[in-house]
Amino acid sequence: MNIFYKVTLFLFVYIFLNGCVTNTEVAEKPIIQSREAIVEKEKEDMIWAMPTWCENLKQEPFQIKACGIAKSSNLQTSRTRSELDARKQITKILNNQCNSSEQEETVDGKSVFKSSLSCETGDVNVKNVIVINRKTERVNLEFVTFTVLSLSYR
Amino acid sequence: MKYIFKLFITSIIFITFSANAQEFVSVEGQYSYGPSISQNEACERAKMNGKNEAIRRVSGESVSNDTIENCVQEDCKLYEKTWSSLGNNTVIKSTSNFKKQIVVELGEKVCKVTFDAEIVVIKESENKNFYITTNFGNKKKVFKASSSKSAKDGDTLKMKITLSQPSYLYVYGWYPIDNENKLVKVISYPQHGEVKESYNFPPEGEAFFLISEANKNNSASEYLLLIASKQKIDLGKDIDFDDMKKLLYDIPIVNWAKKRISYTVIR
Repeated sequence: MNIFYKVTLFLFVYIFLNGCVTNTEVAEKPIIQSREAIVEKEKEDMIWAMPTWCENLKQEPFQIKACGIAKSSNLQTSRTRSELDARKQITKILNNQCNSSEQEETVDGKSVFKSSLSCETGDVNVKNVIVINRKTERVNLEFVTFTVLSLSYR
Repeated sequence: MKYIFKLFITSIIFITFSANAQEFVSVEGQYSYGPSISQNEACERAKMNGKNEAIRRVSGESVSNDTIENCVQEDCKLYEKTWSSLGNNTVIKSTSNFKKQIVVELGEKVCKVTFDAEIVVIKESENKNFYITTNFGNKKKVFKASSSKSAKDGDTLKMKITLSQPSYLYVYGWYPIDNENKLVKVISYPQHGEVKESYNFPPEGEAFFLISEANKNNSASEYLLLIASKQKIDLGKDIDFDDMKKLLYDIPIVNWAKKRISYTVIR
């Protein structure tokens, strides 16, 4: 009786503990996110991280301001590129020439609208530019830097 | 005699100052780093960032941007390219009061350096009577690369380089994907005989373009650096950018001129 009791207890414990083992053979259902969804999520994360001084740039007389944004897994790259992004925006404000073309085609009875816009600044010498504000945030596994540059032209 | 000597010295000082503008700036440079690079290397890069900032403050930065947006209905693709270049006619002569510290920001180590830089800007107007012109045009061009050295099935280039007076001409190539710090000698002129006022590049036939095996991209942006000199100079076969600048700026600016020919090679 004693042996029967022990065997029953052993089997009970064995079956009970077996329930705690993870089943490796059953594959997890993959979470498929579309490219658009990923981009949308990234955009949302960036907007949340964006400081108000970058979102609502306060323009002042005789100054051109731009807020550059860059994301990278490397802190240095995100900082360098955010400054370059701001400088690029200032260059575009100073000198940007654009050409656009639009056309409508009919394919299989449906009209398809095509457009093209090309712009170029040419070489612009950007001088007297200073960093007014800068902030780096961690967004997921990456660094996002916001840099406000100001160009004085008086 | 003493008066003439004084006048001579004063003239030399005046000429030196009118040719070069000198400025001192205090700058900060920083570089964040992970385990893949050493602290010394990070601080060297921080110093380089500081030097770039010093040049930017004194002579500005040349930035150009090209964008193309193509849309089919509401599906748009944006291509953008930004070029930035620093240091045209600007040389950092010396640095002093160098200080460095290592700080931690957002969990990453950052080397911060501060120093004073002595910067010399060589006035271009002083060199207006010695210059280089080409028939390449001002716009950046795109060339199709040949599939191999022997195939020669890509685009070709033939260019006429004209100098404002008969001089020596040195052509160096900058191929950043192969080596971003080095300039590779392509050719020097005259190949035979006397110096001339114009040279053909290449001297015979046409130049073809190649994309190196190391380049995993489908394009490579490069440039040719043309250096004209009234005197013969030994710039060597392959030369570091910094060494090239040091060599050139030891020669009076009235005796040499440079020009960049930028282009993109696509597969």
